[in-house]
Amino acid sequence: MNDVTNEQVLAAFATVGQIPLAPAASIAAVLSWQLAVTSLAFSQISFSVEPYSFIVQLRQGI
Amino acid sequence: MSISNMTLSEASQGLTKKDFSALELLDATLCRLEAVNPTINAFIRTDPQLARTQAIALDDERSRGHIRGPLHGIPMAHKDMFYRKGVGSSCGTSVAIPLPTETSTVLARLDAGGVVQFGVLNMAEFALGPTGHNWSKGHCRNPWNTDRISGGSSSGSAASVAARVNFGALGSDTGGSIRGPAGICGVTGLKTTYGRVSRAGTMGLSHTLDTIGPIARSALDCAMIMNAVVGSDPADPSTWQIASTDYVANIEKSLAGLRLGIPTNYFFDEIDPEIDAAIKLALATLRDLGCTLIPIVLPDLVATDAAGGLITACEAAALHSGLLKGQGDLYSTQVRLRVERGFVISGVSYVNALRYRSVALKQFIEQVFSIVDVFLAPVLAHQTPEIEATDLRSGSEMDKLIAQLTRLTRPINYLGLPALAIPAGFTNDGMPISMQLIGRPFSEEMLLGLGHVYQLNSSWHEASPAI
Repeated sequence: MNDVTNEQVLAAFATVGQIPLAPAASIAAVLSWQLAVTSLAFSQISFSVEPYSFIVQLRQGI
Repeated sequence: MSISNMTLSEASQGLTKKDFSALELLDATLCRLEAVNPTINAFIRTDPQLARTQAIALDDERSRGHIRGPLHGIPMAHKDMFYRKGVGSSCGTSVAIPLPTETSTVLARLDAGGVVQFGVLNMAEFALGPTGHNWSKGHCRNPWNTDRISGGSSSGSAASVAARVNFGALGSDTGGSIRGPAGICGVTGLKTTYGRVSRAGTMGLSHTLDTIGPIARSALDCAMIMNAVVGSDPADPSTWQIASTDYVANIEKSLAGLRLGIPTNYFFDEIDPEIDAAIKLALATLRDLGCTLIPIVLPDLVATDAAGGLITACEAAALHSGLLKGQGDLYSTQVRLRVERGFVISGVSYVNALRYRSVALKQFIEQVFSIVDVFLAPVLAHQTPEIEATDLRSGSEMDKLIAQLTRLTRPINYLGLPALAIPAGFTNDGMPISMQLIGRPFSEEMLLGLGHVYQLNSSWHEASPAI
């Protein structure tokens, strides 16, 4: 998941017709986020959890 | 007391007692604006003639006995991202934004309440920045020290209220954009529960995290604004049909027995000693008022912070992909860099960051709110930096700065919880210190009540900058 290549980065920018200003910096920041989220959080997600359950949880949390 | 130095609630009382008219109140505000705005650059545009016309009409209504409510005749200006039909909003950028075809729900509700909007306020470009820098409209300045940052992204909202040139302002908070500037400028700001206030007709940044809320001089003033704007809205499906409350009528709270949590991890890990001392003093005041102080271990918030940043990057990139294609060169470097990073995050990571949200919130509620009713934390753990020292347009230092300024606020956006930022003292060099009161989902009434009682027993929120 964190193994993003330069080619993939350039392809991502190409989809919006942009030349990235600083792909190296962007990649580093993104990898940092992905690593933190992956290692600390994703392991806690069970198979059945879907994105919209947050709203349910929010309203049950009153 | 000069008219412009009044709080919103005092100005409302003055209008009710006919101590002055809406037009006189507006003219005093505009006079103050002329004096201070060249120094703080809080306003992007003012509309004095239109505002005067509105004020005259509202005075006429009042003379005929038609009073719309407590905000009838109050001058206000808002972050320039709340759309009004046919009127351009800059969103803090040089990028051309389409002319709005609808008025935002929150502005329509304030209009209905009799607010006189006399201008629009500076903000971080597209609300992407926690410092108050804006390379398109000029940096917003902190009224307490114009060399220091104002905070952002609702920079003008906080600076104008602090400088006594605005009775209250709307801001938005996606990662701390209300609490940060409110705290740094020494005013009160409410980050609302996700879904509590409509975002319809407002500039989006990150649709699963964006919230709208007030910045004002006090919790009471925030409550008055909340009464006008709160509630469900068919135009914003994220809003919830929850029984409405009168935040002002219910603001007088007894704090006896209120369980107030003091985090033993995360929020105080890197705290500056002066800020730590001020927060401890505030805790002592709240204890004396009847709160039971309870040390509380919070679930890990590192992943929560990271997941919030990841979601914002992805959603901002999606929102901006069209504008970037045609007007990418008009973005300031820092903002464009922050948008661009969203293009390289995998879809799997984005969806999983959203999936983790309910897990994290359930864990947080069970672990924290089974033990305490509310918990207290600093808004910013560090001294307010200087504008020049933080004028970072790119590079890893920019990332570190942004992370530092939002570390204590962004996790709360990810969890969707409400939080009230209130003044809690000053550093030795005269900069405001702020604390945030964080509660269960939709507990704004309790937070405003707690903040109000604290402010009745403290004077930090009454201090005004010598500008």
